[in-house]
Amino acid sequence: MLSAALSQGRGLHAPLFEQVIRGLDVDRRQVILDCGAARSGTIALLSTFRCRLDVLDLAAALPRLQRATDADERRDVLADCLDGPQQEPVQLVLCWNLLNYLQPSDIETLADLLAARLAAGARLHALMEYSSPLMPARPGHWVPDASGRLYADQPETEETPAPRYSPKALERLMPQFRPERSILLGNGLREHLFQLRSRANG
Amino acid sequence: MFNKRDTSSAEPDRSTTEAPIRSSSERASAPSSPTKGAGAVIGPSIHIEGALKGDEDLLIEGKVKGTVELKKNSVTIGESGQVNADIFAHTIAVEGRLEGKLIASERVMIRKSAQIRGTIVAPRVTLEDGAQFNGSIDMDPETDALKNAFSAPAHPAARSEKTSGAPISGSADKQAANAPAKSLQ
Repeated sequence: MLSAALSQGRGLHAPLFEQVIRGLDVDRRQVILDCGAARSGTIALLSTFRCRLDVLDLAAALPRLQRATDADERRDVLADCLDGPQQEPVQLVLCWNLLNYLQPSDIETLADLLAARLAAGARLHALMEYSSPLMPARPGHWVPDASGRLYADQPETEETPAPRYSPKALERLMPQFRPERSILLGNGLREHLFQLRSRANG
Repeated sequence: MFNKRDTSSAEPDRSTTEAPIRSSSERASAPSSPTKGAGAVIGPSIHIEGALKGDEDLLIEGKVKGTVELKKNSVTIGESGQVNADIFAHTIAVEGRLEGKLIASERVMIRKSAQIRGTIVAPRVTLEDGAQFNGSIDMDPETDALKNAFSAPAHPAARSEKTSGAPISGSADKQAANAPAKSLQ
């Protein structure tokens, strides 16, 4: 299983993740939105930059999202995650593998809510299930090390069907974002990098 | 690889290499000492509302609501501590529940038992996996929040109120009153 393989050894080489981290401007304040839970590796990695990290912990909200019965209630759950005391524009969104656990309509809503928080040219990084028809029933965590390799912290052994969103499907669900690059990784995940479209261009 | 900022003082794994503040259980079992650094303790049965100021380390095992200002010292929220406050300190460690702002001139350490909703501002932050955190972690050493809190006397009243220990005044500080309003679940 994916997680078992990645929790040991050398971790996952994710070129696009490394690219966005390498591209962070060391002299400029950065605001990064972590859709996952706060993890030691993420904080250690980003602490080398002038950085504010906003932690959404979307995974913790998934049970509430699944219990929500209508679109308005689901939007409220996602909006509640994004509701913070500070509204400084965000330069980078780290979705890890969490989009796999959202329904298409939830991805549309999240993209809409995120776009309102982002700075011009902001990027969004995501890891999507692509090759395997199954994925862990719960998202677990992805943790980077100091070199940028990603390690899965996934105690989950139960599996569930993977939605296997295609690049085209994601582009359709997140029209606010322009696909920048997409790479099929050796473990069957597809790594995506999106950039917020210019608002002037719609 | 990504170590772009000047991190001459940073270690590769700071969570294990830094000299830690003792955990609340270690402190509780340690013999009490009048020496400097032994610090004050707010016990589990104590409930305080207001502004706490002083010049010694503090361990909070009880309930505190308001503002805690120990800018030259360390504050530890122990496992049984329940704090709804803004805390200004040199170093802050959290093992219990906190809702509010943590502003530390040196570092903040979040233990795995911690449940935090709010904002952390400190040039160095470490977090043990397993901790529950919702909010922002501002690690920019040049952030205005840090400068405003530590570079100048932020509270005129504090200058005329030179105190030791952890005296309690009647009203919470208004300057740091813009903490997030959500409550812990």
